[in-house]
Amino acid sequence: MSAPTTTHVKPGMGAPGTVREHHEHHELSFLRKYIFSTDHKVIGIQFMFTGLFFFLIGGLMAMAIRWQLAWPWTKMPVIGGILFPNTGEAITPEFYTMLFTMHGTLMIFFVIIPLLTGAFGNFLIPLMIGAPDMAFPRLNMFGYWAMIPAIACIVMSFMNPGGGPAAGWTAYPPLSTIETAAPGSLSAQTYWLLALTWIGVSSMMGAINYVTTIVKMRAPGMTMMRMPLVIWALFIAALLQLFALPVLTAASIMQILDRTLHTGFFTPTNLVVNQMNPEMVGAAAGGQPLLWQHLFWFYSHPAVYVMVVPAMGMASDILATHARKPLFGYKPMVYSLASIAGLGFIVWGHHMFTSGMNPALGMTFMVSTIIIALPSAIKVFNWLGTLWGARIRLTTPMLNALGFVAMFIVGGLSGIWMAATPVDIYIHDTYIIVAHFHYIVFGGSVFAIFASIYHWFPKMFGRMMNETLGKIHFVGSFIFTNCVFYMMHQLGMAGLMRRTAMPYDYETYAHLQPLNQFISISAFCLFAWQIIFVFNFFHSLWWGKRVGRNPWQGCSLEWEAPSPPGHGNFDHQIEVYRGPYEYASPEVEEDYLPQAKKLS
Amino acid sequence: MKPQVSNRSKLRTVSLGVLLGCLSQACGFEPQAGTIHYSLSDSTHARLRRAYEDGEVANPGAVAVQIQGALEMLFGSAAEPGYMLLDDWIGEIDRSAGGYEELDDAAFDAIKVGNARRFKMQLQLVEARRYAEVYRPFYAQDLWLEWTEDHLPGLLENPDAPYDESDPDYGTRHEEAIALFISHYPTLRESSDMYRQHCLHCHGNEGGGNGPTADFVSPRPRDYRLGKFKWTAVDRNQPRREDLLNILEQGAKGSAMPSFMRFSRGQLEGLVDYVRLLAIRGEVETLLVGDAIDGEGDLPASSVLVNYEFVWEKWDAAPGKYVAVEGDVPRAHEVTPEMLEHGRELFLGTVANCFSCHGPDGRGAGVSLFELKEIDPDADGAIVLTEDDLVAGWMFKDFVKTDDAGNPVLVDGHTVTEEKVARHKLDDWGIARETAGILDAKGFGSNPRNFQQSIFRGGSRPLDFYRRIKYGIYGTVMPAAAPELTDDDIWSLVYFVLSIAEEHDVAREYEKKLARFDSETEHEEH
Amino acid sequence: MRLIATLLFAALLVFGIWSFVDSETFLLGPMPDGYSWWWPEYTSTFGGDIDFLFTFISWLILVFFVGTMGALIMFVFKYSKKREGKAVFSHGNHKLEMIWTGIPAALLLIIAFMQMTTWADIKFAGATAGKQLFAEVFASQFDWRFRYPGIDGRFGTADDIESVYEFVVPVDEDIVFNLRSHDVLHSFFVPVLRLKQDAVPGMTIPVWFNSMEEGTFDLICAELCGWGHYKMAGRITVVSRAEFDQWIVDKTAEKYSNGQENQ
Repeated sequence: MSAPTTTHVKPGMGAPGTVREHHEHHELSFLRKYIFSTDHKVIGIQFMFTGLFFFLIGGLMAMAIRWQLAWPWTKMPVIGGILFPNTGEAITPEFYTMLFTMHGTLMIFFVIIPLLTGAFGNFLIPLMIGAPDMAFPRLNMFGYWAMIPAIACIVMSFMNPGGGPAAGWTAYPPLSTIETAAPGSLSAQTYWLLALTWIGVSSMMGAINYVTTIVKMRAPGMTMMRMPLVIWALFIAALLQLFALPVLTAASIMQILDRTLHTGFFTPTNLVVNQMNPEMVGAAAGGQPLLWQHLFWFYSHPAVYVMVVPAMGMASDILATHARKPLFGYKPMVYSLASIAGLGFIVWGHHMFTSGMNPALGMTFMVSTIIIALPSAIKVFNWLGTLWGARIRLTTPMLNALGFVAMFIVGGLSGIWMAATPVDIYIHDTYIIVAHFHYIVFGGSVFAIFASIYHWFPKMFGRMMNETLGKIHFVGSFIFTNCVFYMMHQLGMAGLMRRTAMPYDYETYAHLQPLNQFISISAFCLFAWQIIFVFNFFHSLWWGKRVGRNPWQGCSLEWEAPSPPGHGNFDHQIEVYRGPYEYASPEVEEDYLPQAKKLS
Repeated sequence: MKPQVSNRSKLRTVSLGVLLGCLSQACGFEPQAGTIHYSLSDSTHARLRRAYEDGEVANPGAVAVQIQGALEMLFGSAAEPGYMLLDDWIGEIDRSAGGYEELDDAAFDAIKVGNARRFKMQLQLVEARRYAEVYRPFYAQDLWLEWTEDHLPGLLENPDAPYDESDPDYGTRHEEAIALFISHYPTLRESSDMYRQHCLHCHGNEGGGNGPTADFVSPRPRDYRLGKFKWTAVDRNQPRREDLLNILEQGAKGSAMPSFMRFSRGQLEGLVDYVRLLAIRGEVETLLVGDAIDGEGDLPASSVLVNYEFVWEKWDAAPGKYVAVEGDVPRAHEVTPEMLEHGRELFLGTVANCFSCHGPDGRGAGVSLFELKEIDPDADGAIVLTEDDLVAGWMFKDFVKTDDAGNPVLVDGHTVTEEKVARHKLDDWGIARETAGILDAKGFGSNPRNFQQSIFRGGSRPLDFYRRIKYGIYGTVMPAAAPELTDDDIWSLVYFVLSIAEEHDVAREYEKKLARFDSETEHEEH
Repeated sequence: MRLIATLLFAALLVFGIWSFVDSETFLLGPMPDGYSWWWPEYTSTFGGDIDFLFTFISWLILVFFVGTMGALIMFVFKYSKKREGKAVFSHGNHKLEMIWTGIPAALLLIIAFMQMTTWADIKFAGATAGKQLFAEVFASQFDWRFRYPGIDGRFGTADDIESVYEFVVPVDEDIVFNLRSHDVLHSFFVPVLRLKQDAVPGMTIPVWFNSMEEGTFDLICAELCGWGHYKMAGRITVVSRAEFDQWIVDKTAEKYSNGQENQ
């Protein structure tokens, strides 16, 4: 290579740790270094800030939802006065439908997936496999910037007559396709679909990059079975995205066509919605609402695994590191990740047991769903095995990882109720479902994200986050998370339906208001408690304790690089001699033996 | 670089302070319902503005304040609604108490009696100690349960011995029983709170059909302020209380107005009272604006009360305009093919003239006047309505007849302008309604019912159809039947319309599908 | 920190179980009649099977919950204590993996097979084949409407009896109805009957149930159908056959009323 360029390694060149072969190139401008960067670390941090910002927005929406459920039709703080000043400052029912729709959409597509796969995927993959950057750095940058049109579409979707999209994050037609069916379906829904398409583009670019990088750019000696579990998890999540996203993209385009060109993929004949009959305004009809459900869930079920598999990988890594003990059952862990992903493609119908699809399919999906509980159980046992006989350091990342395990146990076990199809007849679309997925996504993924941020913050920024504040943050978050979501199981037992703005007029639900109030107050406390984390994060960015390469005494390759790693990541040759979790190895005196350490 | 220790303790203090602050707020946390205010309607403001521009009124703002004050005196505020000085209308009202002397007897009785009917019969029976005769109020299950389980056993020794005066507790139990019936009656204030939670977001603060959700529902929610309600059992008048109750219980099928039967009878009756208050308020407002403009910005108290009485009297006249059928309603299985054929002839004929709005096939795609131009090659350019036509009420039958083939054709010499057509295609609420996708060449809709959809908002019993056909739908373009049509004619029309619905009902499609399935399996078996 | 962490996880375990056992306290409010510490009592014939399945799975879950959480708590407590030396240098245990793969797998398969007949009995076409259609249920934004065939026995004719909000059915009989939607997706959910079925526009879905007890039960819409989803209520009123027949007679009289009685 003769000309100075940005980071550019030809795939298959091997020995990617050879940063010194690169020539000195001129210092990049601020814009090229921090904004339009092709460096995977910067892109990862960009994803992280984007994800955390939308976490705030999605959380605010959740607060509004909780307020309405606790004190229905009372004055809603802040937005009541701004949006509904003349009608008593209470939200309207259609505003509530918009709230839960956008809460779900933002949390799934703009928070969890960008944080797990975008932020940590980008940051960790090259570092942990010993590569100087991703296989396609410019594609990587494009992957982040494709989020911007998605964000623009989502923001624009709020500013439509009729308000934001209101058909649920699941966007079932005809509610989402017929303009008159819901105020949010007037034009906001189209923006929503476009946002989803752009997110899909972003994710797919990322997934291609990850798969290629992991397959082709590992350091010498890094066999697949020596990769940290984080990498396996991200690899498998990327494969999930690659194979499932095209279906969602196709379905979104079909729905956009239904809405704009009045095709009839999902529109049955003879509808009368708000006096409007689609055929009479020239729309095609004869379609099937169930088609959307199949297509949507074909992606969205693997998507929930995309949301949890990286979290599992990261938690495994953090548990091993802070327990000072090798991960129990590395191979079974890899196989269980792979089988979760593989099985994840054939279980989508369990979201549709009562949907009107052929009940025989209920049987088949039930069997596959029951089976998919198994690999998750194996993983839990292996995590417990990792803790047995360990020398646990109860640092903040470890606490959060332990919290992940505990709450994943709760969420995973409640999933077995849903897998039983006759039981699902009762609990489908009730708060038991809400409790289940919030335990997995919030108790699981979010706590894993907290753990990962605390754990890899020193690598990202060269400083530690404050331990005391971190522990306080964990304790409060753990308590309040369980206060909020555990009691939702009780709500679901009473049969409380999801997406219900005001349930207390039903005799069946009239006694549930005190419990909902308890949950809401806990939720406000949980939300407020995150201020500690935000404060800690930003304070530590500038005034955190400076640390060296390996503050946690980890074994994987990212701790070989400086903190933060420079351009090209490593400043010396990397060669891998062993697995990633050789803690407590008898071969050395210290209680850890890094992957890249050569023993004479 | 700052020393670590002091940073940490600072952080700790700050965070704990924040948390304690939040937690302390949590105690004594009592979110409030928002307050609603009645304001004057847009049309009131528009009229006052026009009057100002025309020079009839010097200070529209002051007039608005006067009207607002008068309305508040008569109807209270949104926080404390109530008819003038009328707090508790179950009890007796002292006529000499301030404000009522000015009302004349008829008006006073109208207000008092009209407001005292709820549960009145049962209350009278209880007061008269005829406990065994108190009948079960339909849907007031909670009241009935309380009455039968908690109160009745203590009041009735046996069916023949209604009470035992010697029992010292009896008097208390009797008072409690009376209080029970009264307490199951919401006050206007409680009803306004129910209204706020369940109705306001569509129907608006003053019942103007202009709440935040109103823009997204079709048909639009009712604007009570005209005092006109479509689905009633009275002949083109303000509705009876039973009519309003009926809508609450049955909903309006095919609209966003659902059935509210999940509420108790008491709550529904309370809502009826509140809706009536809003309607009367709206009507009085309209009249007061007229008087204020006529009085050049001055609104005397006498005119306020006169308008108040006037509106009350109209509402009180509703039971007198109730529509019932003489004789029996023909049953569906008694309908003969001849009756249906007769109905079809009337439907397509020019006496009843149904087809001209509802279309020859009942699809609601009536022949628009702009299409008539194409049918009759002699009409050229725009078509003009004469003044006589406007006064008489514009009806297609004056311009359209059927030819021998049964097709509608324009009667020579009649013409209509676009603008006048447009104005007549609005209903009384000033709304050019969205149609079921049926727009004419100029984009106007007239929203006649599509009979093929089996959606009949005002009820689908034969009696309901009878009322619509014979007396029209108050406030809409649907006119009352021509006097030439007899009751038998109307029944024929009713069952003809029902047969259109029957022919296109979704159950027919299902039957065909099942028949196909059966014949296919038969084929397979062979 | 060790103590705090242990207590936190122990609290999750303890309160987790306690809240299920003692629902009344944890519901934070008085419980209405008919509500036990479990689901509201069922009245349908297949309710027993469903509840049994749920209870069976709940016990299984309880065992695993206690086992795994107990292990977690114990390990956190024991192994976070500062001590000399390194951790146990174990990469796994093959035999243990086989055990904890095999046993859960077997249990899961048992659950899978246990429920197949129940599901088939409730949902498969055979459950409703050959049975006479009792009524048609229409879901629309935001109402439940029911119609019964009149004398002609056919639906959609002029003599149908229509009811809004209230679905009256006789007790102890197999009620088969066609579920339809006018506009968007809705779902017919009656908690005490353990019955839920989406109403899909464009489809006619036969549904059946048999209620063993009389009473009035809430009917709730269980699929987001717009802003009024939360208020789309209905009521199932189960009465004796004689009362049902009388109700039909009364409704027929109301249908053909000439309005004279309301003067």
